[in-house]
Amino acid sequence: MKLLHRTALNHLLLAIPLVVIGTVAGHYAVRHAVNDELDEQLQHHAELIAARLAAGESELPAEAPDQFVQVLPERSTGIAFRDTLLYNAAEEGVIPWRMVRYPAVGVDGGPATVVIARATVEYEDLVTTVALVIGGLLLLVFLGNFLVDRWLNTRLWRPFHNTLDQLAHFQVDAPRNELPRTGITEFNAMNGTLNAMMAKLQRDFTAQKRFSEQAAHELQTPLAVMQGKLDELIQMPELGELEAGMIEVLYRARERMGRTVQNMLLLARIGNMEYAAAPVDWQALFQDQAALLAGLMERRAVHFQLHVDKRCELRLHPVLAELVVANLLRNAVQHNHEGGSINVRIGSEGFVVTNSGPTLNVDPERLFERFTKGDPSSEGSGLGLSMVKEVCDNAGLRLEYTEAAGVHTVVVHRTR
Amino acid sequence: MKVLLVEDEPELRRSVLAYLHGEGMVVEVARDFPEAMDKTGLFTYDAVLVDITLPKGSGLDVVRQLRTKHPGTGIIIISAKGSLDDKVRGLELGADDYLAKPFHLPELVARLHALVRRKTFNGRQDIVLDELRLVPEDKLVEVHGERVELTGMQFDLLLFLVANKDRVLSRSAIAEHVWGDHAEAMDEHDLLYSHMKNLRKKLTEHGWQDRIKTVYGIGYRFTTT
Repeated sequence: MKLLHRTALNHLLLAIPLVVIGTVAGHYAVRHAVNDELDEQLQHHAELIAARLAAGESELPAEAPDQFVQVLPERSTGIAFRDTLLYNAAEEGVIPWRMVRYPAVGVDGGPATVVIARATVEYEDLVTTVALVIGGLLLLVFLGNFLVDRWLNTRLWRPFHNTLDQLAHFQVDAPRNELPRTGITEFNAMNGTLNAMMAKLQRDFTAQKRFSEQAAHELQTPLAVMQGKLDELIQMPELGELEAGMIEVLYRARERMGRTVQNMLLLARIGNMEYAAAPVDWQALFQDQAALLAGLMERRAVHFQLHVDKRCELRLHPVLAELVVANLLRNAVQHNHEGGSINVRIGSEGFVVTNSGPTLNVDPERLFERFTKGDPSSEGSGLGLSMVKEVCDNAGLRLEYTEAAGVHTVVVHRTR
Repeated sequence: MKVLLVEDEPELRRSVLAYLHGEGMVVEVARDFPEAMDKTGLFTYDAVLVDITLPKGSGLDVVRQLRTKHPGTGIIIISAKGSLDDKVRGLELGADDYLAKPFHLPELVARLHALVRRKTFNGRQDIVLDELRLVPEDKLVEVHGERVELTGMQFDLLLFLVANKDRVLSRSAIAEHVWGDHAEAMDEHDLLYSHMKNLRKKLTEHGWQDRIKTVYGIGYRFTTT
């Protein structure tokens, strides 16, 4: 829920009961005031009639449609006011009246009670109108308040929204604009902190990138020299068996070192997030990589099956996507047994690679750590799966490995 | 074929120079950025090999100048930096290919041949070696005018051997060319061996005189003499 909507809702939740309470309370207050006034008038009138009775005058004032006066030969204990409902001919119905019973002495000297009643219909209307006016005013005040607040909020929070917008478009490897100063201290503090953070992020990124480039250059150039000399060396005529053996070893060592260097630099780059995500055709990728490994699978009689449930929507940089698929498939072939199988299932949210193979003598928890090898003498760099892990972590993908009864399962899935 | 090599590392320069000379190519060298800019400004080459990290400048600027002055020249970037930006930007600037260091010299030769074939003959250039005829564009192979059905990988392998004819090719150079990064997993030599055997069998079945020689302990050679 947007901040603005949340404040508006709170306003509304507060306004509704206040308007209702205000209207009802207003209604009672006005009614109370009106009754007081009426009672005073009725009492006056009754006093007047009682005085006349005491003076021996028995004639009562003429009846009016909204008022009647009676003298009852009854004893009453004190002045009593009450509301009552009586039929009224003019209104053609039962309407509310205010009535007073006032003790007096009759013309005959006996006890008497003066009863005066007055219709309160027009007062009721007045009370209702006044209450509604109060309610209306309250409503107006709240509405005005709400609108002013809304306008102010939109204006006041604009710098905040600008900042949010710029943060959303922040790219560590692209030039950026400084977040501006605003008229508000808190926002200035926030923008200042964010500016410093982004500047540091970019500095670190550039430094890290320069470092891995320099490291790459310093390591790959001598490797290239070695490679060149080896390629030249084998052109020499009359290489004996002994020399051939040594060259063979040198080639392998050169390759192994090259792979390790390449993978370590790749790891550094993945950690530095130099790779932007893009849509990937996972099916084609699995097919291509499986085709490259077809010779090896054939030789080990490993059966490969690819099943596509749905087009996979996972996004990744093409280089990284290839790295993940290549490493997972290669592992599935290498750690398989003769006549085993590899199954790949692609769904919209991820994919699963299952393969048969002997139980690993490596703790599954350590499987994705760097330089972990099932067979210490293997010429693999031990970095393959840790790169897959690093790629998944950085892309917000879940990577899981499980093994049960010689069936190894690797799941790559979007995190919720 | 006239090639300019822009590379600051002397030993690597020497190796590439010697190897390309051996292929019968005319090779000139530029040791740093100004020399590269002078030579590419003044002369025309069939292909230029450019290192990105150069003394006194960037190889990317060399690529830029080449593209404006000599659009017909093939450009291959050879870089040790390995950063993705360089590859992407180099190709955007108009480089034709990108080869990361360290590379196998035969790989460089194969890429050079492919590039010049693409640039000068629009890819339509047959390679004829006696009874063997290859049409790289169509991945077509004929022996005595009769078509031989090869898999994509077998064709790649044959083209690689032919591009480096009369040179000794190490098993690792071949494996990397055919399987790329998966070469690591193929280190059992007999996989390459059986791959090679299948290729030779398919060709000899059509009456091809086997010219692929095994160099003991090292690799293979496609001989023409």
